Amino acid sequence: MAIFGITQFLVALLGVVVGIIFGAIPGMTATMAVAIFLPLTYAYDLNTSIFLLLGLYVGGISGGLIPAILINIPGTPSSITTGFDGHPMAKRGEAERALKIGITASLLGGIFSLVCLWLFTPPLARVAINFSAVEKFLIILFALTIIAALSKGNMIRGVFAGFLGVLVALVGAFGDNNKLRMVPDMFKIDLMGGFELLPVLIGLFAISQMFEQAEIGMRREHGPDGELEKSTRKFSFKDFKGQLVNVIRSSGIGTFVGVLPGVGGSAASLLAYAQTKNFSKKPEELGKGAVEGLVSSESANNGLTGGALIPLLSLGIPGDSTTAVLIGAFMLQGIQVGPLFITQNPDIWNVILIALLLCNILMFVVMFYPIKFISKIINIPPARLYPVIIIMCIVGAYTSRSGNMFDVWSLLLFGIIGYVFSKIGIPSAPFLIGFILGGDLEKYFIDALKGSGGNLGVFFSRPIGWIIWMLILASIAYAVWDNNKAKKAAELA
Amino acid sequence: MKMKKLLSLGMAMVLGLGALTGCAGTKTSEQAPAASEASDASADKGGSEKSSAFDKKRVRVVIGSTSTSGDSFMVADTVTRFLSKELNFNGKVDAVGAAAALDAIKSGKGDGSTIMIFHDMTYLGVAFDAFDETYALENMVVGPRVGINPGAAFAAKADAPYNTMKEIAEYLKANPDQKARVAVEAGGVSHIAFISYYEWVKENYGEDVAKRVVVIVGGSTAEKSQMLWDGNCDVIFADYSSLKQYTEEGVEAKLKMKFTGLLDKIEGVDIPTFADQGITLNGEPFSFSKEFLIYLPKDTPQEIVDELDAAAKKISEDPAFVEEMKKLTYAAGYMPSAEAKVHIYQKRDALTELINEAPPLDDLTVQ
Amino acid sequence: MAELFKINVIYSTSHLVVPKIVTGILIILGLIILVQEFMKKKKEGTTFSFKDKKFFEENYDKIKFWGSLVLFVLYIALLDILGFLISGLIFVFLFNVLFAGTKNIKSIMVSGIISIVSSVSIWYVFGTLFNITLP
Repeated sequence: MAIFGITQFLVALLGVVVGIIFGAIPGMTATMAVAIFLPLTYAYDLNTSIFLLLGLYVGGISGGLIPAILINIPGTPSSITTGFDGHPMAKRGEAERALKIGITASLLGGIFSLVCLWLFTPPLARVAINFSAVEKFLIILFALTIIAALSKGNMIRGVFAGFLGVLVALVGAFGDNNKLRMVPDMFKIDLMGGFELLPVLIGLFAISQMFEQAEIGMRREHGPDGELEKSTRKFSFKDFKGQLVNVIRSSGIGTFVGVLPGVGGSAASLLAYAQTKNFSKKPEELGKGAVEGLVSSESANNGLTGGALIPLLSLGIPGDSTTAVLIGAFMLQGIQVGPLFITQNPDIWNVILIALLLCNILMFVVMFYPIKFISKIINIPPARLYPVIIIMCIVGAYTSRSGNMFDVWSLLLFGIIGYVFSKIGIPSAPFLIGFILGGDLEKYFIDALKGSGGNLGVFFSRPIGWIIWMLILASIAYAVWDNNKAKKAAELA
Repeated sequence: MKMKKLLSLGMAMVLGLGALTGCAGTKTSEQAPAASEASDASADKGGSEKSSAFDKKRVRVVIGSTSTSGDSFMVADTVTRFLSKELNFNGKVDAVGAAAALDAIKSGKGDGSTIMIFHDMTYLGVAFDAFDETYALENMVVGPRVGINPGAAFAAKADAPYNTMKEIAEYLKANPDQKARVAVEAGGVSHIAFISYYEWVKENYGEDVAKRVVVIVGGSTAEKSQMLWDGNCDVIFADYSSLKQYTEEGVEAKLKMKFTGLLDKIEGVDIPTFADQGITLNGEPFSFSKEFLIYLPKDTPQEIVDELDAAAKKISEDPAFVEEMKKLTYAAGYMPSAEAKVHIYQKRDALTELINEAPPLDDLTVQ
Repeated sequence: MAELFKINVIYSTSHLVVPKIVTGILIILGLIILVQEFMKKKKEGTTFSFKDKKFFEENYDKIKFWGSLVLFVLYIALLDILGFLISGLIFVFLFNVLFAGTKNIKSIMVSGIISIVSSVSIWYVFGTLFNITLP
């Protein structure tokens, strides 16, 4: 068949490898990788471009787990929750195991979403249309409840940090009326669009960590190499025993968040992680290096890939920021993606399915086998590692808006903020989560109110909404109960 | 020992990069044949010409949108590709967004290293007061017009009880309890289009009907389409090309749309325009196309502008360029910089007047 | 009563609705935290003060900490002037020297190698190969 030849295979491989590199470098994302390679696809036919771009997409989403696990810096916004359990595992000396679990979970999530894309595209798209501003607002609120679940024993501070993040996300112009808020006159132009996500993300995680390390003199976090080897628990596929429900639930959540246009991709792993914690038999283990948490985060963010293609290919509306760039690739070839796409272009549809399958498998192979060597990054002394991280972060920040010095300064600013936060006991992760979700939270809140003439009852008026409300309340109730338990335990100790 | 580890790691890195560049290397060579024809043609031309401000330079092309799939990017990218062959520069389109793009032109060096290719939002931002006067057209150099996107259109759900913008007004007149909610992006081209329609309705059907044409402030085309589908608005405004597929045969009823009016004539499309429907503004038929011009920093010398003029003229005569623009439903529409400047100033003044006379959105959005 | 459950969104002030709500929530949460801290202190019998908390670690590495901050600021400030490659070469080297020290020639050489390999490879791969706009 003409669909799939050696060129396509090589191009997909190239896409996956480059995507992984983009994902793994803090501050560079799958979206950037796809955007950068888009102009190159002029030279190819559509088939070949699809293999390349999907490779970049899958690789980019997956690569983020490497720095998240090894150095506790999420390589992409969607791998924030990966570090929660992955990094503690790596600190225990199980870096390789954690990476392999993450990669395998990524593959499972990717395949799950592919099956959804293949079999359920039209019905899922129909569901997506039924989610209006009200439901989207509630979904985002639901994702925010992960903050409560995360800050066990310290809930008020966690929630405070979360709302602070939301407030910082609102800095800049409001999309509806283009009016600025909370912006000093001096930065009127720079802050019109608010702070960019990537500088904030890598500032809070990478740069603040660098300051903390500098403060203690760049000592190594881990013992000498020999010790590390000894305590290493080897990866085995048995690690996935008992994870079936978790994988399906998390991939399902990831796919569904992908299907919903306008709910950012990072919400996928946040929601999945929170639910895994809620359903877990040993919730107290999560955040301390539990396989469950890692599996959940990674299967969810790869579950996103197929999911985000569903509204793109069946409605012409992208499911996340990367698929928004993909539209361009189709336009360049003179093909419209939308309601008629699948029926009118069955060949291209098949190419997409095959390419996605191939890219997921390639991603697994490319990452799983060499990971042994990659995991050695953890052995590099911080004094040597941080300078390289700094230069990568600067490239990432500068590139996040195609070349803007202001974003590099924000990187430093949020590095300092993150450092001060950890000193005064405000957790950074909830702040970041608030920041990521804040913009959408506001948008859908206002949209819902505009639609109802300002009546707050609108949030309780729709059946899908009631279900989400129940989930939100259950999530919060559970977190409060868990919080009190942890507090009591602390008092006893 | 440590040293050895580090060294081996360094080696691994170098090897990895080598492999990467190797792959990418083959990529560029694959790409070459496609581009070679045109570049060969321009190479010998370029050789005979005297010193060029662009030759072998790196040119950053900023656009006022952050999307890499919208018309701004598509036009800028296509134009840049053809211009860079013509002038032999290494062009890169950066989707930096309106604020950053205007700022890049305000503070950029006038040596041709930074240029902007952007549509009417260049001056509409100032006209709508989103940007202050320092970003006005007077503070930049207007280059040639390189593209036109005539395809802005209003659309409604296919089962709506009206077919044209005119019928909407008639329908509202006949049904005093009905409203038409129009999704519009504030401070953009759709805002202009809406105001012109609103003013016409007010003039011809009276305040009572006009009052029931309500604005819903919406965002991107994707968002506006969703608002239409889930019943949060009745009419949307977007690019003809991006909505066309929803109007075609075979689209399921829930998603199906129909066009109710074009702002300007599109070649080969027989949907009534505003002018056809008799929608006028101050007695004149109203039409509007998005025009893409090259804008340069204020201190750019005339030679550079001339060079761009000549190159833009040349590519506009290149059938391959015209064909590509047409594929994207845009027109080449070259206009030399001197003419383009007069034209765009006039257009801005007319639209600024329209905006200043229009009722504020506070009133238009009241339901 | 119904008015209580209404928020009128007026176009020209719609950008302030959510920031106001969020600020309100933050003030309430902030007060709760303060009260909680106060109660805790009272329980433990200590007076409310920040003095017993040191901001920095005991014996923190002043040179590395402040040095990294100063280097970072200089790096960004000079990035635009020197360009990506040159500033990268200089500052990655300086960061390395700052963090790893200048114990011996070997250490300085390693710093040099790291700075060259990382700056040049990033500059080449991203700036040239992928044609990304770098400073």
